[in-house]
Amino acid sequence: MHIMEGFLPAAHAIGWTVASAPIVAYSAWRVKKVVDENPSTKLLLASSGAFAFVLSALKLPSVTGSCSHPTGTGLGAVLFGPWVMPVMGTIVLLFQALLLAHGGITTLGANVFSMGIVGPFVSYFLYRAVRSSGGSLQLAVFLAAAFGDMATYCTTSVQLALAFPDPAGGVLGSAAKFLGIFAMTQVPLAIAEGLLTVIVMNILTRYSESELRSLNILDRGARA
Amino acid sequence: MHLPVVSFMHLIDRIAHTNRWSKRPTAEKLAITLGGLAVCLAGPALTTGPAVLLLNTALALFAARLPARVYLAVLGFPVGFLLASAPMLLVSLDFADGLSFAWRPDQLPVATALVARAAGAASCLTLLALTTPVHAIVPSLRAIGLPAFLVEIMLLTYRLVFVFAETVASGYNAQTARLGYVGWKRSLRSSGMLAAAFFQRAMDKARRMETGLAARGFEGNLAVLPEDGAAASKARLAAIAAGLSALLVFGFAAERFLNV
Repeated sequence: MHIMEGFLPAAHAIGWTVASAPIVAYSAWRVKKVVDENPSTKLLLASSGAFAFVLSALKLPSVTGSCSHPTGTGLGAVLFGPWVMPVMGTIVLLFQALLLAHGGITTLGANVFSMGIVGPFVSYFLYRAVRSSGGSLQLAVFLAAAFGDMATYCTTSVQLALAFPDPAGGVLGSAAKFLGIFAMTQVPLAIAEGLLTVIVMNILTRYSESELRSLNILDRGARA
Repeated sequence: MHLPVVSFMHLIDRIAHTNRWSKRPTAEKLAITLGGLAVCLAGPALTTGPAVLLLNTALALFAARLPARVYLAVLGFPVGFLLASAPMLLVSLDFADGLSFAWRPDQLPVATALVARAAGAASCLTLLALTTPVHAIVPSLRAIGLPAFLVEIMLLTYRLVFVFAETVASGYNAQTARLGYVGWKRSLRSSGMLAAAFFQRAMDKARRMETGLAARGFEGNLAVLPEDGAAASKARLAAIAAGLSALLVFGFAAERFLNV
């Protein structure tokens, strides 16, 4: 759900950058505390960031027949905790712009807002809510990943609607238009990513206990 | 390597390292491309957008001598998407009396302005991505206040992206050879297994690097030698600024002239 380079007018590009900046800065401050205490977490963070970047290169089969790529926001939020994601998401999105010419620099703020902030937090809170109310790990992971994707795509639609309000229906009409267009591709993709994330987490909980435990260090207290 | 995204990334990175501008001072390339982005967003889209697009294309093909095929392919992705999505702006949706759709040709200027601005901006990003390796861009982010620990993490991430991409691409090939991507259900299962196996590898890599560095007395700083490229010349930076300002002025003038 990247907004491409130059798609947003100047005021919107700056506005979304200003909206994302404090959250990314706070996230960086939290990451710095962890790194200061334990410098070797730098390697864990870089590994996790590279993992998130390369994960998005995998193919995600969609029922519509086309192939797309997972966003990994849900998996990232569950594995690394939501407060690592704004920083990690910014790094990944910047690298996607510089290494794949995907997304953009002027739209980095808007993309960080939807994919590095809204998506992961929705995922994380859903995951916590389902787990604490006694839901199974599979259900929690599925809902977290699928609705993290949906939240990201709704945010993008609103961002586009604010930049390009409908001449008759205004921002609301425009939002409905963008949501409708994206729904055709994004709803099946969100379901596919939800299923994919469940498969990944199933394998990880069975075979990767120690790796999962080593991640606790990235966001202490956030995970039970 | 059959994962298209991975091949695409390798292509961009290879060109970024081997074009005529690879060794040019990063500050100059950043000034041209980020300045170009600013001009695209600040100026009147209809005139500055195409002007920036033309300028960047000329620089890419004749100054940096990028292969035309690669430049057009990398620029073609976002521009194709742009041409497909801009017509959506001509369809209007209204809730005033029930749901109604309308074809609004009067929105054509909004859509054309969008195409002009975004195409110009996309050419700036393409030029930057294809002329400047990431390891040259990231340290220069120190200048805009990015903390040192983040620069270190980003440089490590950059290196690991390529290490991991190889792991994932070979895993993907092995799965494809065993018909792992035939059919929807099997594709999903294969992707899941690949991601999980890859996660283990990534965490294992991090742990081994930690141990390796600890054994060498790691205290928290990953010192690397900076590449000694030529320093940015103040005169050239000033010339770039002047050129881009002239482009902006030209954009406003051309807009006024065309409207009259």
